[in-house]
Amino acid sequence: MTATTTVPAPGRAVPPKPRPPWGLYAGLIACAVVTVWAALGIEFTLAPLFSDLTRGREVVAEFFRPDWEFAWRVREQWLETLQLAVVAGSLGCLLALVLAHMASDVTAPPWMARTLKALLAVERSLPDVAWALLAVAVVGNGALAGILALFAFNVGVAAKLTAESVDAVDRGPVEAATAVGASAVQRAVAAVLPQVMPNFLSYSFYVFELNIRASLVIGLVGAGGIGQVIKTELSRFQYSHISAIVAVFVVVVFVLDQASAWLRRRLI
Amino acid sequence: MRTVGTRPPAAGPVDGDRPKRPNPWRQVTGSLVTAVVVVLCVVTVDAQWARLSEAPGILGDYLRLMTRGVLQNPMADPYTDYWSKAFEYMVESLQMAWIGTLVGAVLSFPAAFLAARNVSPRPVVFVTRQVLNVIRAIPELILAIAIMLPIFGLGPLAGALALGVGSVGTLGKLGSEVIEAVDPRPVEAVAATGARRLHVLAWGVLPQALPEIVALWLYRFEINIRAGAILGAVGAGGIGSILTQLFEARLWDRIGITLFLVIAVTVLVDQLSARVRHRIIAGGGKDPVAGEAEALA
Amino acid sequence: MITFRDVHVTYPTGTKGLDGVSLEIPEGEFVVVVGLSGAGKSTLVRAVNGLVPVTSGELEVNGQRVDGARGGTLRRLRADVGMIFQGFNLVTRVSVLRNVLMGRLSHSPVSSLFGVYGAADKEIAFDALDRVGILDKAYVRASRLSGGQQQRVAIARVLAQQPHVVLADEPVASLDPPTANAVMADLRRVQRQLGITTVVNLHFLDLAKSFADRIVGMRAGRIVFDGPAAEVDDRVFESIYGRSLSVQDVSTAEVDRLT
Ligand SMILES: Nc1ncnc2c1ncn2[C@@H]1O[C@H](COP(=O)(O)OP(=O)(O)OP(=O)(O)O)[C@@H](O)[C@H]1O
Ligand SMILES: [Mg+2]
Repeated sequence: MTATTTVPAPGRAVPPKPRPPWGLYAGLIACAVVTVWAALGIEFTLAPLFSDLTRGREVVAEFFRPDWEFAWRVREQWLETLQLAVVAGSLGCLLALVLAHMASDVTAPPWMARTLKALLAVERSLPDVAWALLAVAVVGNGALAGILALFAFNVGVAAKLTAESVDAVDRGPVEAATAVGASAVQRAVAAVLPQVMPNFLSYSFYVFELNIRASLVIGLVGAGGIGQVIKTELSRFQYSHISAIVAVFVVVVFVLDQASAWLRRRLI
Repeated sequence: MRTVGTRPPAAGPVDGDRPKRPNPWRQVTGSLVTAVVVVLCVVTVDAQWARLSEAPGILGDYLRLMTRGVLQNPMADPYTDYWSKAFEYMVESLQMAWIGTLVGAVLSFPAAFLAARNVSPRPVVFVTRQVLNVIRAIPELILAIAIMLPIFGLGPLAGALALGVGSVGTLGKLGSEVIEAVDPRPVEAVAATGARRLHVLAWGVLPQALPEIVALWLYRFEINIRAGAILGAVGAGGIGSILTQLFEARLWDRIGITLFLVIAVTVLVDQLSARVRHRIIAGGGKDPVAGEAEALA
Repeated sequence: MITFRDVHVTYPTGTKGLDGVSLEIPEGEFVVVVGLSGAGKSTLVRAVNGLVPVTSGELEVNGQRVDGARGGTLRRLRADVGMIFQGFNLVTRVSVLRNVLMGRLSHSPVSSLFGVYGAADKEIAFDALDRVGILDKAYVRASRLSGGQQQRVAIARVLAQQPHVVLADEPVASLDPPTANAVMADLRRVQRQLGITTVVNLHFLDLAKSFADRIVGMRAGRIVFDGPAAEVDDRVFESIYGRSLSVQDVSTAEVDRLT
């Protein structure tokens, strides 16, 4: 290597050094500070992993003796879980499809789209447990509470995702429908719906899958399904029962996940 | 207005030469099966639909009670305490979600590379993907009950770790997809300089994938705030613990205050995170997170 | 019959799209509008069916005022004015027939919501497809067609509207020259058969001259030439484009008059 490559030739203007990315630095420092604060807040430590690993041994050992027969004995609750997921999911997605069109600039006047998007953001901010607790308080323990909780939860998720698909639709056909003299609803049905349908179907299946997962959560507060079984067995310390259910549950979710991935590939 | 009849026909005869409609049996059977399943479920589910008729009235009462709680002067005596308690727990939820996401990010980062087809050999990709899929299928709740609570005891730490391990599956899988979508040409260019494999990853792949991967982390943070809520119900800290207690005691004014805080904080964090996400991937075109990440969460 | 009386269009950005246009297009005429990019051709055409609102002046289509029309009145007016777009604007996920049936939306407002169209509507759609020569593609997904075929579907969609007026904004700009020529020939033939008043924007002067009854030249939102196609010569061209004709201004295909 010769000196000419490192020393600029005389007279050549060296570009000024770019301004350091202060924003990035500030962001990184903020993240570090938040991390330290959060870690202190929850008393983060991995020590139990080495010292207290044995503390959970009994529980973990119980877990490794799953009582398969029990998983079969609660087949009615399994069925109820499926029913809740289907009923709440289908009703929720249907409503979401309508709301999504009302929440997008493409198919609705801007003021309506903006209002509805904000409402949906609020609706989505409540976690599934909160909906389940509310539903149980209003209609009592049981499947109806589960349906209501999942329904509320589903509408928010499906409407948001579908509204984003509507936003991203190709505007050409929409304009063509306008030029034909179509009304707002006709425009949505003829030009927008065919474009968002594959996405919507895949979201619907995803919502169904979410419902199966959430069934644990909502059952835990008394809203029906297999989660309710876990709640009882948990209070009776029947870990071998729980582990059998969990194992089946994981297999079901795994299969559903694969099926939904396959379906999504086919639809889109 | 012109009608069909008055228009000169394009061709001669009308019938017979029109193309036949292809048989749409796939869509028809698909919709039929779905409809039948839905109807069957609606009919057979053991739900006391009758209670729905009273529900609006009851809900109205509760909402009124909750609103009254929110509208009380927060500086007045018991209410100051209610607000600060709710806030404390919400902050704990945020801390759990943050640490959980961080743990998930750290664990999933190498996994994403191992699961990317354009980086790792096929057998490694296959095994990593299956492991990630299994992790994705285990709900955080189960991780907390079966593993974290026994080892780490009651408290937010167990919750944070459950969220962390639970995030690995999704973050790893989506991360690997981001890596696979990287433009191969710059990667080739780095390799062509004779750089070693790790350098190619660091200078060819990572700069392209990092913004989107960080966006995924932020997105997962938003999800973890919600997912952490249930963990409180089993003693793993966060807003869920106080929420379940309040509902058990039916303290509606305090429930109102707590839910209000949950909504306010969550919406705020969501907006903030969405803005940062868009900043990060600005210019990079589409937001990989918006549709897909949620669709895989 | 389309009548512009001192029509001005000013966009929200302050740009003047049309600057005092007065124009009369009698029933059944085939008018081609030419002009430089940004001259206001699209604005002119899109004002006719109210896609671009008129700022001042009067615009009438078949005795119906377009300026100020809203809601149902505007929709009925649009139903009677077909439009063809440069980018075809098809719903590519669904069949060709579904796209053409879109032209019948305003005729069956309720049942069309569920995708149900009557036999008469279907017959109209088939007839329209037949006229542009792609009847056999009726049940093919629109995304599977070539550009020229897609634009024919768009023409069929317009025909299914049974309009009195057809507007086309650079209908062949995304097509290769021979295909462009063939599509223009189709449009011209159908227009003659049905006697539809037609306004087309074109970039290529040779296409304009070979298909138009009448040519309107625009510049900076104003009409700078208006006369029979045969009268357009180099001098007229210069007045429209502000420079003399060059090879870039003609499409490369030999124009054989199919009409
Ligand atoms: N939506 C809009 N908002 C603001 N200004 C616009 C809009 N559409 C067009 N314009 C402006 O109005 C003027 C006329 O545009 P127009 O699209 O009618 O031109 P054109 O002759 O069709 O050009 P081209 O051949 O490129 O399609 C241009 O200066 C353009 O920038
Ligand atoms: Mg134009």
